[in-house]
Amino acid sequence: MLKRAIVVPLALATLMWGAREQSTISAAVSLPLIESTEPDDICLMPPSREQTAEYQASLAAYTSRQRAGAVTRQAGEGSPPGWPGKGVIGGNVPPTAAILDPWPTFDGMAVDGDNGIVVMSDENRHSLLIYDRAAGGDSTKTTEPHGRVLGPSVRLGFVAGVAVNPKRRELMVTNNDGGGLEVFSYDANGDSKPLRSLTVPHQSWGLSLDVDHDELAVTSQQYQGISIYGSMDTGVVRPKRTIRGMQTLLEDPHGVFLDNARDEVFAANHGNWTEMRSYAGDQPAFPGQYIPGRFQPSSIRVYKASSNGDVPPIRTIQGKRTQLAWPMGIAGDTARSELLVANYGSSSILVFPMAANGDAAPARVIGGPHTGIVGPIAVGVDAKHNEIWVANYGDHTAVVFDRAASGDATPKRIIRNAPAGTPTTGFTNAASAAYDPIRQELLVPN
Amino acid sequence: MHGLAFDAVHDELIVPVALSGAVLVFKGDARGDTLPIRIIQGSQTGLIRPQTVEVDPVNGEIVAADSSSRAILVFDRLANGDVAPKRKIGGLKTDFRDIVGVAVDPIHNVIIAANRSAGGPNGVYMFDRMANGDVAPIRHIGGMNTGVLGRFRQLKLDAERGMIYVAVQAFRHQMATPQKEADLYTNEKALAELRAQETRGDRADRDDDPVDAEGAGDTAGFIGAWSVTDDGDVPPRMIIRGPATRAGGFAGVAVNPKNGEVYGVGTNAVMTYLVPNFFLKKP
Repeated sequence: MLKRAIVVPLALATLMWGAREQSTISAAVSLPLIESTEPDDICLMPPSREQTAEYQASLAAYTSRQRAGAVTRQAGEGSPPGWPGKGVIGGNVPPTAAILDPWPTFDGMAVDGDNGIVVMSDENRHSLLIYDRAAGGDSTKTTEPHGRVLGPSVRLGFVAGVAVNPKRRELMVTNNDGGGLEVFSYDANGDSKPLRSLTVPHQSWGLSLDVDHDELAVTSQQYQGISIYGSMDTGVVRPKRTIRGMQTLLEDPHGVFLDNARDEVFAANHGNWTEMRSYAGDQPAFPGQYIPGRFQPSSIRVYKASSNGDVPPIRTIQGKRTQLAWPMGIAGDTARSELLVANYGSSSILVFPMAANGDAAPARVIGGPHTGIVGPIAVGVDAKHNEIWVANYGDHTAVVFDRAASGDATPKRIIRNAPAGTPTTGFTNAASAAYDPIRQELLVPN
Repeated sequence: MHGLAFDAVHDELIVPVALSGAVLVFKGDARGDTLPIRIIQGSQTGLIRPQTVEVDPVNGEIVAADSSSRAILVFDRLANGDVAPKRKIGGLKTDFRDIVGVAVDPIHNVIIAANRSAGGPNGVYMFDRMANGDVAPIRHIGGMNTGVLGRFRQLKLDAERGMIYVAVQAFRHQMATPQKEADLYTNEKALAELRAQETRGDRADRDDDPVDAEGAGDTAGFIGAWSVTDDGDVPPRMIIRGPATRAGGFAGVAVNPKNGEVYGVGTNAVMTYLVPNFFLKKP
C-alpha cells in the first residue's frame, strides 16, 4: 500500500480524513457550486444564517439562468448513455484514500485600512475571504470572515493577486490559470456575480491598483510582462501600456507595485525565462532559431511606470546579500519609502528602501520561529493603523505585525482560515503525479 | 509543473520546467533546497516549453514533450547541459499541437503522446520508439467514443501489461481559448475571436466552465485505460468514473501495479483507488 505521499518541492501531504472539526453545510448546498471531493459532511467554514439564505437564493438564481440556456456549448458533448459499454473493467470506484485540504488556502491579499477590511484570495476552494482589519487574535479557532465570495457565478478558479479600491469600495482578483480578472463590490457575499471582468494574459498573478491615477498593473508569468490598464477597463481591451521584451529582463514576474507618483513600477521575479510561443494553429510550428530558456537569481526590477514596450529596468535588486528567494507578493509603503517583499524561500518579509539597487541587503527582515511566517505569499501595509499583514500559503494563517517590526517578532494577531494545527497539502492546481516504488511514495508537483 | 517522472531503476526524479525550457534530474530522495544532479537546457536541446517527461530506464533515455516546439525530444538518460537530442519526433505528419502527456513502452517499443488542440487533432498518438523526424503516428486513439476529446492531460504506462492510463479532465472538447493562443494583443485573429465571444456572452476563457448545451451527456472526467495495441475510435478497456470517485475529472495519473493501486490527481486533490482487477492479466 502507499505509505505516504510527497509534494515536490515543498511539503509533506497527509491523509486528511477524520481529524478535523466538521461544519454543518450540507452537501446539497455545496456540491453544485464547487468541485467537491469531500464526504457528505462537508468540512467548510460554517456560514452565518444570513449567508445560508443568500446562498440559497443565489443558487436558485443560477439554476434558473442555466435552464434559460444562458450559455450554449457544442452539441454532443458528454458521454452517450451506456458509455463506455459492457465488459469494461472498473467504473464508479470510491477512493480508499484522499489527500485534500477542505479549508481555504490564502494566496493574494490586499489591505484597505480606510474602510477597515482585508481581502484574501483562496486558491484551494476558489473563493475570496473578506475580513475586518481588526480580525484575529490569539485564538486557536477559525477566524470568521464577514464575507466569503464562493459559487458558480463568481468566476473564480485558481485565483492569485488581489487589489482594492477604497474610493469605489471594489475589490479585484485575477485568475492565474484559466479566466481573467474579476471585480466585486466590498459587499459581495456568497454566489455573487462580478461587477465587471477584464481579459488579462494567461497566468496573470500580481495586481497593483494606483487609485489616485486610476491605473491597474498586472504581472503575467508566461507572458513575461507587466500590463497597465485603466482601473475601470473591462472586456477585451488593449492595456494602456505594456512593459515586455528581452531588454526588460522580466523573468516569471509575480508581485507588482505601481507607484505613478514616483513614476515607478516594481516587479518581483522568480528568475525563470523561456520564449513565449503562440499556441495558435495559424502560427508556424518551427520558426527556426530560438533563444533557449534560462534560470536567473530572483530579483526585484524597477521600471518607469510611464514607459511602454521593451525597456530596460532602471534599477534591479538582485544578489546574495538581498536574500531574495521566490519573492511572491510585494507592497510599497510610500510614506516610509519602503518596499516589502513576501520572501517565500526564506519564510520572511524583506524590507528594502524603495531606492535600493544592486546586491543590497534588506534594511530589515521580519522572520523567525516566533513570527508565524510560513511560506508567505502576500504582504500588505495598513498605513492608517500602522500594521503589516502577511498571508501564508504554507499554513492556514495570516499574521499581523507592527509597521516597524523587525527580526523574530511576535505577531499582534493571527487570522486563521482553519483551526490551529490544521496542515496544508502544500499543493494547488496539481496536474500530474509519479509513483516511487522504492520508498512507496506518491510525488505530486505543485 | 505539468509533468513528473520517476526512474525506479536508477532512483532519480525527472522534472520538466516549462517556464525555463529545461529538464532537471534529481536524486530520488531529494528534499528541500537541493541542486539537481543534471540539467538539460540550452540552444542545442530544442527545449522551449517542456510540459511533461518520461524516463525509459531500459534503453537509458529521457523523453520530453514540448508544446512550443510541437515535438517529442529524446535525450540520453545521462544528458547534461546544452546537448542535442538523440531523436526528435516533430513535423506536420505527427499532428502534434499541445502535447500534455508522454509515455515510453520499452517492451512494445512505442512512444505514446497525449496531444490536444481546440478544433484540431486530439487523442493518444503512438510512434515507433526509434522514430525520428517528421513521421506519422503508427496508431491513434481518438474520437467521440474514446472520451479523449480535448480535456485531458497526463499519461502513464503499465508496461508489463501494455496498458496506457489517461487522465481525462472532462468528457468534452477543448474550447478555443484565444487568451492562451494569442500572443496576447498582437495576434489579431485571436483578439477578434475573444471580442466575438464577449459579444455573444459566451466566455470560453475558462474551458472548465459548465456545459449547458441541451442534449449534452455526462461530461464528467475519468481515468481510462487502453491497450498499446488499440487504435481508432475505441472506448477504454478499464475506467474510473462516477460520483463515488469523489472527483469530477483528473489531470494526473500514476499507477502502482504491485499494490493494485491507481492514483488520480484532480484539481486540488489526490485520490487512491484500489483496483487490483486492473492488473490481473494482459488484455
